[in-house]
Amino acid sequence: MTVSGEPTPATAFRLLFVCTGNICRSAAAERLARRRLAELLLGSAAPVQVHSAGTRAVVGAAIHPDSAAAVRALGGDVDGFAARRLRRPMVTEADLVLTMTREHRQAVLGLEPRALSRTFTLREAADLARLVGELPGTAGTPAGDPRSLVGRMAAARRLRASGAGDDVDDPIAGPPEAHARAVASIAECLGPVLEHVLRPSSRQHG
Amino acid sequence: MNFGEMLRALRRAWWMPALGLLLGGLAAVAVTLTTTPVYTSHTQLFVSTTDSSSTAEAFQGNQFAEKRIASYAELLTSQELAARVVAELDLDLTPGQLASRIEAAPVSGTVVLDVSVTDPSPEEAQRIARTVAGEFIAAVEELETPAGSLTSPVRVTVFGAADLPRSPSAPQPVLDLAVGLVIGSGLGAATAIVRARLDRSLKDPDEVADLAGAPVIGVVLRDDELQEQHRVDLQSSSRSAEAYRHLQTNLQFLDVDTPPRVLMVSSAMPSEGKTTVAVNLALALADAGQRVALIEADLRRPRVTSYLGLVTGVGLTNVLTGQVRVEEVAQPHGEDGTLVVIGAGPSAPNPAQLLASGAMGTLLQELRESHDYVVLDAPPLLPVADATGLAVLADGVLLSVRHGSTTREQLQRTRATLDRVGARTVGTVLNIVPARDDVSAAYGYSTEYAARPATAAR
Repeated sequence: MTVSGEPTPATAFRLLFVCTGNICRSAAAERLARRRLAELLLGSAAPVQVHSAGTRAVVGAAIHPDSAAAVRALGGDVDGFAARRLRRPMVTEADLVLTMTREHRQAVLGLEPRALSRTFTLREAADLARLVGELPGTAGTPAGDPRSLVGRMAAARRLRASGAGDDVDDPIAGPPEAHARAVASIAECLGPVLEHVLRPSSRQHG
Repeated sequence: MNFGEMLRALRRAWWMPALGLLLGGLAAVAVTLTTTPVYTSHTQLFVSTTDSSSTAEAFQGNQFAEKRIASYAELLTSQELAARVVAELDLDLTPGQLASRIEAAPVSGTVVLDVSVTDPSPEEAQRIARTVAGEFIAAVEELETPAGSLTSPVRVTVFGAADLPRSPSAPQPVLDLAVGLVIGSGLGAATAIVRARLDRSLKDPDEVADLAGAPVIGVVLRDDELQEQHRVDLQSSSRSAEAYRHLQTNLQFLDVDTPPRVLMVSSAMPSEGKTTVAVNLALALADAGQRVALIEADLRRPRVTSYLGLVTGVGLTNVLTGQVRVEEVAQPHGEDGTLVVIGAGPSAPNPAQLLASGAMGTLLQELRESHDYVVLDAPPLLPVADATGLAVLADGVLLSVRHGSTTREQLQRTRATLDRVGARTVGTVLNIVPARDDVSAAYGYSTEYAARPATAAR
């Protein structure tokens, strides 16, 4: 499931989004990330695989219509989606796991504690990506490997406290506006993370 | 409880006697305002025997009268006499009601009877008293006249005529108020002392040190901000920051021959501030340049990671079960990175077993080599057995004692628990001390005293 070019499994960077049902937040994040990557990596051969899963997924379900509408409004494609339940191999194989809340982060680590330095909530990751970008010593470094950039984000964790602000709330029981808000918030956070982790890599490759 | 303790109890609960004083005063005022004023008229009756021609006879007669006089007092307050007075004056009272308004008592050692009558109207009181005296004289004459004789040997004379009372006999505002104030403040003081007597909680650092068998190495004042944030800004000059810097310094003076490096922070019961102590002690040690590992060892209610804004749900239990190496889950905290935090990890069904395991011992050994201090935030000692096994693995136990909450018995039992397994209590922290308590004042003095030579030397 690569965004562009031929899949090269050995080096493919795997990005996994996690929420509860895998029909609203993580599904939207997956589709928005793919669209964003298609823009960022246009013409390059950098392989990035984007998946999503839910801790208590509505297995096989399509994206929630309200979330789907919000994703489409932002140019994302919602076709052919089927919700999946989060399982340990997905976490083990992922290079970066982005969860919607701290609770999901805990669930991911419950499956695979080794994933600590690769698992963030989406908002935490966005914040850390900005933080790493501002750190002296990192600016101007080409830093080719996206995996080492993920490692830098993990190392920057010591500089900030994770709190309630790191969560994207579940819109499932809310009105369409709640879905639109959640999706907008996800889209806003995806920008810095994807740019930070993947753009240097694309530059180097391209 | 000695006099000094009583004084301290009174000073601590000064508001109780004050409240008693107020309530007593208010009660007196209420009594004064609600009582209908009543007036009392007094009259004295003199009892003598009629045929006393010689001194000897007079003496005998006098003795006779003295013996009789108690019976006369009864007679005066009897319903029978009251009924006669009611009939005579045509009063709107039952004989019983009237009898209750009459008081009579012999003036001891004399032949004088003191009679008083109380009534809402002063004139009425006087009129009734006068009639009572008259009816009584008639009644005595009837009763004492022997059969077949015409005269009674006893004679009763009105010696002091019934007076017209000028001021009411009740209420008496000044007296009532004085009594109310005295009783109120007395009860308040008694309550304060009894309460202090019944209060088994610890407040005195010396007593804490004595019961725990280890010195008090820190006194942390109550700090609402700290209770909300859970961590102290050590760069600030707040009292809490000062307290933790002080605790950190004191810790380095403990047992200089075998300094405790692996410290278990615990308490008797939950909510006695142990996690806050563990977190801030670790921060203070790291701030002083020590390499510190802080372990969230309360597997039932882990709080450390959330207090510090770290990732929850990964850590100690993962390491103990061999899933990961400790470096993989140790989370550095702070810019200089001398503090690493190991979270509790996923919850396990057997915390006591895990914490006392050989794997835990190995982990502590490993951390001891790579760090200057290992601080364990342990579960409380009394409700669960989790911490007892861990206490043995640590070099020493630091007990958090919550001022005014932890009781003497709890601390005694905690010490007994630790002694039983052979753990060493190296120090205690008296926690959440109210800022106005004398303990804080005493400690303020001692720190100031300790600091003086240093400043003088500069």
